[in-house]
Amino acid sequence: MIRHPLAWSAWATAALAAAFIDRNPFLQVLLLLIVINVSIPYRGGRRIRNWRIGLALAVVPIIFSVALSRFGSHVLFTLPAIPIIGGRWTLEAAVFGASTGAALLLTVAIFGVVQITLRSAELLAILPRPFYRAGTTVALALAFAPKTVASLHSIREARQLRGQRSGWRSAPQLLLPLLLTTLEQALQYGESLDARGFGSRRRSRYRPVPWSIPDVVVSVAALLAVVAIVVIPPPPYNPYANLLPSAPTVDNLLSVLLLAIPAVITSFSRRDHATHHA
Amino acid sequence: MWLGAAATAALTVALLSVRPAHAAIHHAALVIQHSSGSLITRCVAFAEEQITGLQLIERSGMQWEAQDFGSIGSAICQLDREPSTVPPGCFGSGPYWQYFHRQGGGWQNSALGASSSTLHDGDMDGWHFAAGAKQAPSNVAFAAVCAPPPAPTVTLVATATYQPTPAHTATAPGQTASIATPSPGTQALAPSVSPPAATALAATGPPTRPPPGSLGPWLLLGGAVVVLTGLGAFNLWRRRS
Amino acid sequence: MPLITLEGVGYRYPEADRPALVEVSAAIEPGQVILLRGASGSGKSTLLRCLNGLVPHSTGGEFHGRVIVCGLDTRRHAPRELATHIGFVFQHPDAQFVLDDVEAELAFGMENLGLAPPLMRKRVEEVIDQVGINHLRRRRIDSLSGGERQRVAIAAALAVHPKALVLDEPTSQLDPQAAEDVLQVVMRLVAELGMTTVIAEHRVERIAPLVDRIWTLEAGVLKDQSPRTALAEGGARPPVVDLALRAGWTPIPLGLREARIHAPTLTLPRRGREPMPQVSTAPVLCSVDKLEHRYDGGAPAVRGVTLSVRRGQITALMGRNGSGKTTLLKLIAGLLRPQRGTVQADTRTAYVPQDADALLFAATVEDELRGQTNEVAAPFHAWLHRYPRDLSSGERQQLAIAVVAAQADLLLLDEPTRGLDPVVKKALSSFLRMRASAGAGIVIATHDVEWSARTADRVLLMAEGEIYADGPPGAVLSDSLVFATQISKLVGGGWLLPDEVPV
Repeated sequence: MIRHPLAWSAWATAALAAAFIDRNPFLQVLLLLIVINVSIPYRGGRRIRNWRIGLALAVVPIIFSVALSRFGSHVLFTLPAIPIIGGRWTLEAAVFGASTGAALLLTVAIFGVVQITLRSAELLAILPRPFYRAGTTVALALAFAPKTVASLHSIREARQLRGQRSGWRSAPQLLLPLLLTTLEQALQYGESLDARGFGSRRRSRYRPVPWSIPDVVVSVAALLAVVAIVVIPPPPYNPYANLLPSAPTVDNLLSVLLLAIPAVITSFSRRDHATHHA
Repeated sequence: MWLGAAATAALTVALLSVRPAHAAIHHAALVIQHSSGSLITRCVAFAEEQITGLQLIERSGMQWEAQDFGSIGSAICQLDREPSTVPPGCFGSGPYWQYFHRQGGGWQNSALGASSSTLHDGDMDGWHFAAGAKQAPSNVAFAAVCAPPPAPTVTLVATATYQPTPAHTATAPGQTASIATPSPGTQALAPSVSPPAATALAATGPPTRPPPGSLGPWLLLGGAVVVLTGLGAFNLWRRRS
Repeated sequence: MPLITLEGVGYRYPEADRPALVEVSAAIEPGQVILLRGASGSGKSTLLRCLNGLVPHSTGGEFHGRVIVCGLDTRRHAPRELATHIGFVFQHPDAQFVLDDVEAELAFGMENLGLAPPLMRKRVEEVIDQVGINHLRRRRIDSLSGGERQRVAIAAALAVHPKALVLDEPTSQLDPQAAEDVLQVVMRLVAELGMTTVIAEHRVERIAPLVDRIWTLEAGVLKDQSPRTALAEGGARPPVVDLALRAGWTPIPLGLREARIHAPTLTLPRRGREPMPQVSTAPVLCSVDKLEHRYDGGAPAVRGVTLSVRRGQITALMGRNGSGKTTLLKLIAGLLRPQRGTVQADTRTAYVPQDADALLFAATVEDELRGQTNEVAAPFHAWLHRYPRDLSSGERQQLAIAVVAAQADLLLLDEPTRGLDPVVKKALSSFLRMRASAGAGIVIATHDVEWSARTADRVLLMAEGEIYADGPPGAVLSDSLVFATQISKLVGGGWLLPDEVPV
C-alpha cells in the first residue's frame, strides 16, 4: 500500500508533467485511464462530485478555440462578420481546444487523486524549512475545498432567505461572498499557525511515515517517468499542421505507463485502502 | 501484482524488437525570389509522410536564419544571405520574406509559419523578399523544379562553390547543422539536388514519427487500454461487493 | 515577578475610527486565573491577542505601549516565538485546526518546536490524560462535536507546556453540556497544574468562583478588580449576584456554593404551578403535524413532531447539539421538505440562520438595508456607513434579523444568542417582546437557559428529533438538571430568575 506522502507527491508531479507535455490525444486518453485507475482503490466508492467542473474545464477551451481561431482547412461552419468571433469555425481549432481541455481535465483529475491520498498533516511534516510557506499554501488549498463548499451552501441558503435569486444566473453574485469567507478562514488559519509556532525553527516529526517497498517503487517509477517525459518528449501535436495525430512512440507510451504502477500495486494487494484514507 | 508486472515487461520487450518498415521517397519543391528578382529553386527528397516548411529550407542547402516566436513557431529572417544583416526583431520596416504555398495554378499566402506548415509529396513552397503584402514570387511549375521521375540522387550541374556553413540560430532538434551553402547570387539552375543534402538525407532526418507501418506502439497502446479498463472494472466490482 | 505585564497599551486597527484599546495597564502573576469580561466590540479579543503577539504582528495597525510576556517584548518577538510561552485557544471550534486527525494536531505544536519524538510521545499521552480525551485520539477532527474539538484545542495548546493558557470565549459556540465539559477541563488544569489562565467569557456563572481577578473592558478601557468588587459593580455576572445585591447579602457570593450559605435566609413560598397562559384564543400562525425528516439516508433528524405556534407567543426550543432544532426550524420555514407530515404556515415566515456572517456581504450597512422601511432602518442609523462584517457579533445579529425578518409574522431564529454579551441579549429580548406584542409568533432555538427563562412564554425541549417537554418556563425549566437556571438550582421550588425571588 502506498502511504508515504513523498511517493504520492512524486507520482503527482510526474503525472502533471505528463499532462502538460504530452499533447498527443492517444497519450492523453491513456493518462486519463491511468489516473482514474489509480484513484478507484482509494476512493472508497465515493462518487466523484466535481465531474461537472472537470467536464466544463474540458469543454470551455474548445469553445474558446473555435470562436477565436480562424486557421484550419476543415471548416465546420462560417459565421457572418461579427467582430472577434465571426468567420470560419474550423475542425482544427476545435481539436486544438480539445487538446488543451484534455490537459486541464487531467490536471483536475490528478489533484483529485492527491486530495484523497495525501494528508495535509504529513505534507507539512516532511517539508524542509525553506518550503514551509509553500507547503502551508498547498495544505491550505487541500483543506479548504470542503470548507469552501460548506460556505457555498450557507451563502446560497442565506440568499434564499433574503429572497434573492438562486440558480445559475446568480452564480456570479456568489463569488464575492465566497471570496470573503474564504479569505476570512484563511486569515484564521494563518493566525492559528502563528499561534502554534509554525515556522520558528526546524521541525521534528512526531510519527514519521515509514517508507515501504511500494512507496519506493512508485517514487522510482515516477522519477523515471519524469526524466523520460522531459528527455524523450513526444512529438508535439499541432492539429493545424496535421489533424491526424501521429502514433505515439513506444518510449512515450512506456513513460506514461510507468504512472500506472500505483494502480497495479494497489489492485493486487489485499488490504482495503479506502478506509484508511477516508 | 508481480504477475501483472512480469506480463507487462514481456510485452514491452517483444514490442521493442519490432522494426519500422521502409517507406517510399517523396519530393517537395522550394522557390526563393530575392528582392533583385533572381529566382532560386530546389527540389528536396524526403522519406517521411510530410516535412515542415523549415525542414524544406534546411534540407535544400540554402543558408537561412530564423527566430522563434513561441507558440506561433519560427519565422524566417534571412534566406540565402538576404538581407545582409538581420534586424533585431527579425522583421525591419521595409521588405521581408513573404511565405507562399503553391495552390492550384498560383501562389497563396501561408497562414502558418515555416516551422508549423507542412509539405507532402508534390507540394511547393515559395519565398519572396519584398515590401508590401501579397508579393508572390514568379510563377514556377512543380515539374520545372522537381522533374519526374524523382530519383534520390541526381548529378549536379553546379556552378557555385560550396562553403562551410556558419551556425544557424534556430535548428530543429535532431537536425544536423552542417549544410553547405551556395554563394549568394547563384542563378536559378536546372533541377538540382545538392549532394550534401542528399547524403544528409540518408544520414540525418531523424524519424520524428515512426513510419506508419510499425504496429508496435499501437499494440502496446491497445493492450494498455484493455488492461487498464479491465483493472478499473475489477476494482469497481471489488468495491461494490 | 509577574509573568505578563501590559504597560500603557493602546491599539487601533488599520482604518478604524476609534481605538480598540486605550491605555491598558495590568500585570498577571504566575498561577493567577483572570476572567476578562466586556461587551462585544469592547476589545476583549484584541487584548487577548496582545498576549501572544498576534496583535500587532498579524493584524497591523497602530500599537502603543508594550507587553512583556515571560521577559519577551511582544513588539520585538513574532507570535511564533511567543507560542512556546502562551497557549492560545480560539473561539470557533472549526477554524483553529491545522491538521486532519487528533493525534497529529496534539503533536503539531511540539513538532514546530523541534522536540525529540520520544518526548513528544510522552507529552501527547500526558495531555490526553489531563484533558480526558483518550477515546478521541484516533478520530478525525471533522468528526468531532464542538465541545470535543475545543477540548482537543486545549490539549494541543497544553502539549507545548506553555507558561500561560489564553482562551478567547471557548464556550460561546457550545451547548450547555459541552460548555460545562470544557470549563471543567480548564478548572482541573488550574487546580492540578496551577496553570496561569486568562479566559474571556460571557457565561460567567461557572467560572466566577474560581478566578483571582476580573478584568472588565469598556470601550477599550480596562478595569482590573477583585472578583467581588467587579461583580458588584455591574457587567456580566451570575444571577446569584443579582439576587445577593437585592437581598443585601455580604460578602457577595461568587457562585452557587457561596450563595447556598445565604439561601436559608430567604423565606420562599413554594411557587405554585403557573396556570397555562391564556393564549388559546390567539390565532394559529403555523401548525405542523407528525413531521418527519431525515438527511440523506441517515437517522431521522426530526421524528413525529406536532405543534402549533400562535400569534404573540415566544417559544424557546432547547436541546443539545444535534437534537434536531435547526432541522425543525428549517422545516417550518419551508427551506426543507419533510418526508412525512405536513407544515401549514400561511403567513410570512422568516428564518434567521445561526451564522449571520453568511447573510451580510454588502459594502455598507446602508446597502444591506436597502429596500427596508425607515422604521426598520432607524436603529441602525449610527452605523450606516460601516462595513457590516466589521460590526461586533451582537450588532451583526441585530442587522441580520432586520434584514431577513423585518416584515415577517412568523420569526424563526436559530441560536441568536450565541456569543452575545448580556446587554445585547437584553436588547434582543425586548425587541422580540415588542414584535410579539405586535402580533408576530416567534420560535427561537437557543442554548441559553437564563435568557429563555426571561424571554420565552413557552419552552420546548427536544432530543433525538422528538419534543419531550412542552410548557411554560416555570414548569419545564424548574424540573430539569441540565436546563436549569442558577436560581432554580439555588432555591428550587419553581423560581427561575433573580428578580422574581421575594427577598
